[in-house]
Formats: sequence, C-alpha cells, structure tokens
Amino acid sequence: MSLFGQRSVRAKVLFVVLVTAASALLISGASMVYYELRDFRQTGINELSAQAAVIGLAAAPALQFLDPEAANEYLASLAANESISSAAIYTANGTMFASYSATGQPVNFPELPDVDGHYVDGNELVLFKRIVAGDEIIGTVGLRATHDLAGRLVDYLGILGGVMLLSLLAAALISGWLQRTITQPISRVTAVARRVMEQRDYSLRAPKSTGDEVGLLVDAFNGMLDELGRRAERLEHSVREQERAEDSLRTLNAELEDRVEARTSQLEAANRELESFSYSVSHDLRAPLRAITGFSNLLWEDHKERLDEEARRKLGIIRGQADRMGLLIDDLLRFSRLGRKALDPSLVDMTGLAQSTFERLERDGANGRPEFRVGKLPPVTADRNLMEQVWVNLLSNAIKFSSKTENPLVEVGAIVEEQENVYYVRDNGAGFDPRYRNKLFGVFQRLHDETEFPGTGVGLALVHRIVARHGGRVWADSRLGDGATFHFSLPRETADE
Amino acid sequence: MPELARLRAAGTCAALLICGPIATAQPVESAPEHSIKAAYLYNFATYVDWPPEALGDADPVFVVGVLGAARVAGYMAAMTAGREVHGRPIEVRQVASGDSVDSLHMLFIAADSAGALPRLRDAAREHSVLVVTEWEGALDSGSIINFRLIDQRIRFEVSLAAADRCGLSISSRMLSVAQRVLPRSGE
Repeated sequence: MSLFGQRSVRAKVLFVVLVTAASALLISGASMVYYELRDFRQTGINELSAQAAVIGLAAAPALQFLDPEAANEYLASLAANESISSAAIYTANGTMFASYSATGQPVNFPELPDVDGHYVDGNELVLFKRIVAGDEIIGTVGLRATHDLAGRLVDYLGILGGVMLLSLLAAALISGWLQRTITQPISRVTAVARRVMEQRDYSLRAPKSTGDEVGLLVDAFNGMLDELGRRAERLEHSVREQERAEDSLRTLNAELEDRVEARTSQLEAANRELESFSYSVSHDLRAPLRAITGFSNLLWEDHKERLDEEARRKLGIIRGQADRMGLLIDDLLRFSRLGRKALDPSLVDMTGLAQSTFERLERDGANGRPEFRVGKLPPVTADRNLMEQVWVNLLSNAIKFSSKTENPLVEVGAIVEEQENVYYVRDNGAGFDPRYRNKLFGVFQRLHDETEFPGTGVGLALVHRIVARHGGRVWADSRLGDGATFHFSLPRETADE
Repeated sequence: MPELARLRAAGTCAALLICGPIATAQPVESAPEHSIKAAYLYNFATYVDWPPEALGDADPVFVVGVLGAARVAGYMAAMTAGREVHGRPIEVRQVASGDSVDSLHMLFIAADSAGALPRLRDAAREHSVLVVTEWEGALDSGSIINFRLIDQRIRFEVSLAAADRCGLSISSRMLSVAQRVLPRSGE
C-alpha cells in the first residue's frame, strides 16, 4: 500500500481502471465459461440422448425379429457422427445384441446395460437408453461419445485470456487518453507546488483550466499561496526584529560580564590588599607591643618595691591589656593566614581529634571540669590542623560558657546525612539570644561582656572560615540561659574519595 | 398404468428369456422354433396396419387364427395373454382347414396345412386377413409373410403386392429386417 501510495495519480488511475476492467472481464468471462461448459455438457447429453432414441427406434425391429446384422448395420451408420466412439445394443434380458466401435477396437461397454441415464467416464460421456416398442421395453442402447470438457475449457480459457489481454490494452489506451483531462490540471498544480517549495517563491500561481473539483483545488491552492506569502513576510519581519533584539541583548550581556569580571578582579585585589594589610599591621603591631610588654615587665621586676599600690595596680592593667592585645594579634594573624594557606587534606579521625582536643583544653584551662560526652563521629577528609582549630574553638567555647553552670556538660555528636556529615557541640551553659545568631560568626563579634567570658571574638569567625573553605556550613541554636548547640557540616564526597 | 406396463415388460422379458439363446445363432430346436414364431407373429401384428373396416368396433378383439402347428398356437396364447394389439386384447384361435376366416385378423398356416392356402386365399384377401406361412414358395401362392429358416435362424420374407391386395400396410421398419421383400405390382 505504501508503495502504491507513492505512485503518481496517473499510475493510480490507470491501475484502478485496469483492475476494474480486469475484474469485470474476469467475472463475466468466468460466468460465460461456466455457462458454456454447462451448456456444452447439456448439449452433449441432449444430442446423445436424441441419437440413442433414433437408434432405438430403428433397431427395435432388429431386436424384435432377432436380426443382429441389421442392428450392427444401424450402429455402423454412426460412423457419420465423429463424436460417437462406440455403441452397443442390449436385448431386454441384458445380453449384448450388437455393438459398434469407431476405432475397430473392442467396445468398452459393461456386460449388462446400466439403468437409463448418463455419466462422464474420463473425457467420454456414456449414455444408456431403453428401447421401447409399444409400451414394452425390448432392449437398451448404450452410447459412448467424446466429451472433452478439459479441452473445451482450455479453448475457452485461451479465448478468454486473449479477450482480456485485448480489452485491458484497449482500457489502458482509452483511460490513458481520457485521464489526461483529469490528471493534467492536477499535474500543473503539482508542478507549481514543487516550484514554490524549491524556490520559496510565493508569488507563483497555478493556472485554472477546469470548473470541477480540480478547479476548486486550484483556487484553494492559490488562496493558500496568498496567505502563505503574507505570513512569510510577517514572519521574516518579526524574525529580523528578534535577531536585532538578541544582538543587543548579547552586547549587553558581554558588557555586563566584562564589568563583573573587572569588579571581581578589583574586589579580589582589594581583598588581597586588605589581607596583606591586616597581616602586616598585625605583624608590625607585635614589635611595639613586645616593647610595651617587655618594658612593663622590667618596670614590674626592677621597681616593684618603689611603686605604691596605685601605680602597681595601673601597671598590672597595662600588662594585662598588653597580653590581651598580643592574643588578639595572634588570632588575627591566624585568621588572615587562613586565607593564604593551601589546604592539606587527609582522612581525619574526628572522634579521636575531638577527644584529644578536649583533654588538652581541660588540662590547660582553669575553667572548671565539665562532664564530656562524645559519640561516634564519622571520619572526614579534611586539613587535620584546621580541623583541630575548629574543635579547639568550639570546645573551648563550650567549656568557657558552661563554666558558670552547676553541673557543666559538653556533648559532641554527629548526624550522617545523604550529602554531608553534620557535627555538633552542645553545652548547657549561658547560651545566647537567638536574635543575634547571625552575628556570631563575624570577626570581633561578641555577645557577652569581656569581663563575664573572656575572649577575642575571632574564634567562631575562624571556625566559619575553615568550614567554609572545606565546602561546609556553620550554624548555632540557643536560648538565653539554656545552653547552646553549634553545628558544622562537611561534605561527604571528600570523605568518600 | 405404469404398473401394467411393468408387468408387460416382465412378460416380454420372460418370453425373450426363452428365445434369447437362439439370437446367438445356436441350432434351432423345435420348441424354441415354435416360441420364436409365436413371438414373431405377435410382433408382425404390431407393424402392420389394418384398414379401418377390418378393425370394426363390433367385436373389439384382435383374433389370430392358427391352422395346424398347435404348439405355436399354445405359445402364442401364453405369450399374448393380457397384451393388446391396436388397442384390442388378443384372442388366439386354433382353426381347422374348413373353418371360416372371416372373423380373423391374422392367420398362421403351418407347413403341414399348406394345402389349405389356395382355398383360403380369396376369403383372407377379402377380409384383410394377414396370412403368414412357413414354407418355401408360399409368397407365390398368395401368402403375405413367410417364415424361412436360413443359416439355422428364423427369418421372414414379405410380399408387398399381396399385402396391397389385402388392404394391409406394413411398416418399413419391419421391412428393413425382412430377409426378402417382394415389391408391389408395377414397381
């Protein structure tokens, strides 16, 4: 069907005509052949039956007067009828009385006659008919005639085939001539359609030559071409506009990117400057601070006895503040160094690290002795030194802020999630006002008074920076006076690698 | 009627069963010869047409007289029982040489009564009686049909002249199997 579908209309019309003609011819031819063969058979039977009647009538006296020679003579006259191959006459009691064979060979007849009637034996028709004289049966005549149905059929089929061939040829010629009036206008429309498709020329028009369906088709086609031309023009216009808009957008984007890049590099440069500035400032501040500490120590040691109580108190304040400034500078240096140093990742046993860090802090510190509970923490691939700093800061914070509680408790645990490990440090200490949780991790941000809980305010900023550099997050939960929990997460991919 | 036809056909079959072997040219014996002649006599009657006056309505019986040859008469009586010729039942009558032939339609004169023919000839001719004989030269003496024994088989010869004189017409189909046909006078 798909193959048929690709043929041209001409071929299809021709095919339809030929198939129709062939079908009609076949049906009528088949019925003619059927009728002819039936007629042929009936005619054969009728002729043979009439012949048998004639023979019966003529041979009746021969039978009655026991004259087989006469009967044989009658039968011999059948030689005039070429179709009869053999014949026989039986007496009333069934013995063969006379016989005839066209070829001279022995006749092929049964010993006893069959009942009245006929049958086909091979390509011969055999007929038996009783011979009646008055109203008595006096014998039977049997006839055998050639009845070449197959030969007849072959003849007819040959004729039918010839007729069909000629008819189809005629049908093809006539339809070829007639269909030109139908297919030519279609072909012209097709040609125009093809040119429109190839040249994109919507100004072409198909010529209208008929008022029939094809004419309607041509009108519709031309109308569609009008509409198509208009739309193509509009489309082209809008495409051009869109292209213009895209161009300007692209230019704008490029400019924007350039600006972002410039800003970023400016920002990076500024950041670098700021870091190197803060580093050098911190570094440079150390020398005068060392001088202040050194000389105030000397003053204390060499002139302690000569100073009165008030001077000693003031000197103590100077020394304390100088120490504190030293700590501040150390923290700042660590903090700023963090931005420059490359990470040195390795698999870190977080449980062991938290445990040993807590033990060291407990040994060094004088701030009470809180109970410490540590769960099983998943190991992580990270910079071991930086991780230690994280634990130092978080645990020292926990110890510090829980020191004023009656039964201080520090808990460390972890939650393994799909993408990351979340570690936490919980204490039952002072806590903080959750409104300020966003300020917690900024440099020099303090939520408690220096005199209440000493510290530089750099620790959590450091934690934030280290965790961020490892691709993690930091956050805290608390209620004032009800302890605090500090969380930090580290991505698991690095641990898996 | 079909029942009757079947019965008759059976009768004919029975008769022909007796004479059947003779058709295959076996030597003629006296009993089959008589039965064959009886059958022939019956068949002759069917092929011969009588003038209307001879088959008058007064006595609707077809009468066959047999002179001499009592066995032929016996066979014929047995064979024709229940049969009809020209629409009449058949009556077989044994006649003596002095009897009248007026009421007969057909008369068989056996060879032993050959001497009766010249005497009966005129009466027979007058009453359209089909005279059948069985000796050589009988046709010359006025017989119409004469049996002959040829090659051990029973044949017959016909004199059309004699038939004409009797007002009888004989079917040409019967003549076609006659051994000899004497033509009409003037032919």
